[in-house]
Amino acid sequence: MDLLLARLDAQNSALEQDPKRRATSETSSEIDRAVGHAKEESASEDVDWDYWGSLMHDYNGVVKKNPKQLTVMIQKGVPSAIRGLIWQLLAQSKDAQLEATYADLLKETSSHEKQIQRDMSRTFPNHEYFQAEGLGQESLFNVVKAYSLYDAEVGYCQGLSFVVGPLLLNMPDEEAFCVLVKMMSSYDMRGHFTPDMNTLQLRLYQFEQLMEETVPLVHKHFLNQGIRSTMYASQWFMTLFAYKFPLDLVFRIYDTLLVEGVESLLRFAIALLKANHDQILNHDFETLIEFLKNGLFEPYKNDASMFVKDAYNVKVTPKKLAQYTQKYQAMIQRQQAELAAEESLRESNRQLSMHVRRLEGSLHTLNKEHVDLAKELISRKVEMAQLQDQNDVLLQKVSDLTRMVDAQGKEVEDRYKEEIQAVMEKNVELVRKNEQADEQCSLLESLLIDTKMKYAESENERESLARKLSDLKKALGVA
Amino acid sequence: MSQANDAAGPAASNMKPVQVKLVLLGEAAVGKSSLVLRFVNDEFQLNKEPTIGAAFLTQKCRLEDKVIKFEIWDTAGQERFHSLAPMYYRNAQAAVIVYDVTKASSLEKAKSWVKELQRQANPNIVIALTGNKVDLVANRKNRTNNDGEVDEDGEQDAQEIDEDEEDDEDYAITRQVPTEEASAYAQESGLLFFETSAKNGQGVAEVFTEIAKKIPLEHILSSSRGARAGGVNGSNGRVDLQNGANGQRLGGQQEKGGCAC
Repeated sequence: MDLLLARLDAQNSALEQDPKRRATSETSSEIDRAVGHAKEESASEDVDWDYWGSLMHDYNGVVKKNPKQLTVMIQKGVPSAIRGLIWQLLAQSKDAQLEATYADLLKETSSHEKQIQRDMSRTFPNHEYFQAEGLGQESLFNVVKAYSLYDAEVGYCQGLSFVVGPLLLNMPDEEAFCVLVKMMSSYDMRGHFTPDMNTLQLRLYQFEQLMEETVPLVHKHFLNQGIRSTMYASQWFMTLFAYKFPLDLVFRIYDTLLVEGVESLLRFAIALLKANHDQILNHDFETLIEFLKNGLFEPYKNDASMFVKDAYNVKVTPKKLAQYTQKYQAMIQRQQAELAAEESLRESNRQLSMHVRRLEGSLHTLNKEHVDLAKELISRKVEMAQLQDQNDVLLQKVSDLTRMVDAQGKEVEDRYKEEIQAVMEKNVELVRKNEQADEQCSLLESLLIDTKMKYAESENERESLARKLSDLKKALGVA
Repeated sequence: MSQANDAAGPAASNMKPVQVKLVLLGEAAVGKSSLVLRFVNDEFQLNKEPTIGAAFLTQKCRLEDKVIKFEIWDTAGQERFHSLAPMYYRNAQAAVIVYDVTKASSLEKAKSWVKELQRQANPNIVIALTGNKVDLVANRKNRTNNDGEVDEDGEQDAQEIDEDEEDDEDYAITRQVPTEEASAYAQESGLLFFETSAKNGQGVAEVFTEIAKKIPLEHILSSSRGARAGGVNGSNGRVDLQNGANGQRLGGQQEKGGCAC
């Protein structure tokens, strides 16, 4: 109830600042008609229709007059026939302008559309209304898509569709959208879905603190088993228990949450642990997580009112929650400082490792170069030795050749002399032969002269004979 | 299989199982939870709810003379839950990084997980890269194969696939990640590589068997027995998931794998 009053004050001051936004646009006759219709439909239920009727006529007045009565009525449960209307009333969500915005958003395209579509068949997959061809799935898609456009920072977060589903089972999609917007803003649920999820973290922390205080044995058991609230309670708070719990229980959680505020989730969570206290202590790590997700609601399966009643009996005051929040923020600051220190250490470590890697790299190169050089040195040395050997051989050859040349010089001279000698002798011989030939020649010349003399004599003789012959002839001829 | 079951019976109960902490990572809706559900319960659930936060499951597996107990953290895939992941992979000895063979971007996400693990996780972590949903792309190929001659196993597969096809008519069944590309990446990054179908079970057991083979079990036994990150004491083993149906199925695969899961 403390939570309820605190929330009502906040709502009223918001309304005073914005008088144009009427809390409810339903006219009296519409309300009467709705209540009357509901009364007929659920005649068998034991419902205080007068109360709900008057609440719908004058919400603020009725609640102000007797706030306690509303909490009593909520514990009995909102009549299912008018649940959608009451939820909107509790959330003060009726807003024609926002409904128009919703209609506009439906025409736009969201960057999250593909992912939302992917999850549609995976949200309440076993519920008739949300089957592939059902209207429910289309409405669900529309509301979630519109919200992703309406609140770009949150965009689409898995879990949101499980929050929207129970709304759609009680009201048309444009109204569900308005309630969702209220839940996210006024009820401070945005932080369950923003990228940093900081409110969710805070909620989990508050939950653990409450556990320590209200169910210390369970808290200790979880600590011993290494179970942290993120492992099982994230889905409670992100889906308002709709992920795994039976829907009639979920509706009652919504009833309470919309009256008391989002902190009532903590009451339900603690109530669940209390109701399952002994069983939890008998589970260990492996089975406990499964049990926390799927088994906890068993004691309340057939008694939703007891569930709400037990939740109401969990003492959670705004003051206590504020204390936890402060503690949490201090812890976060400490953690962030530690994280920053750790990160800077990690960074310097990274740089040092990189340096080491670089040095290892250059060491490796140097080693390789060293090995290469050593190899070259060896091959050079081998080469040198080979050259030395070759040199020795060549020197030996040179000296042999010199010796050979020296020896050959004398031989050549001797031979030369011998040859000169032979030539000179030949020459003398030739001179002698020449003289002989000259003698012979002069002999022949004198012979020739003799012959020529004889020839001239014989010629003369021949001429005298020829003349005698011609004289004779003449003599004969004349004769 | 009966042989393996017998062996895992009385003898195994005397033997303390080696606990292997394993984490599943990967983009949203690639089939991480379905893969685990197939491995642990041999079930497939169409339209499985997205994982919010994380889920924890265990499964025992027999490798040669040892019993291995996988303690599996199945994480939420949406980017927003990324900051929670370190809590689950910090002390893990194995990671299965899953992508969807019909969605190219999911391999990119898988690669970024590999990088993060190589930077932040246990340096000896065994990582398996797994391309899931091959049933969506295998249909056509298998059908044409089956026109020709098929062995007995092949015929069975074909039957299953034909049944599946009715459900899958709305799906685009074009493969966007070629096996070779992912396998080459896995090889150069030192990862195990598999392609699986959580829907028909293809390749799922192998992922875990091969991880079990690659993990230095002796090291885990000597270093971390009893002192597990989750803080769970040694008296567990209450969850015996080696039920009959499971045993029978995995028995068929044991011929190839060698791990009687």
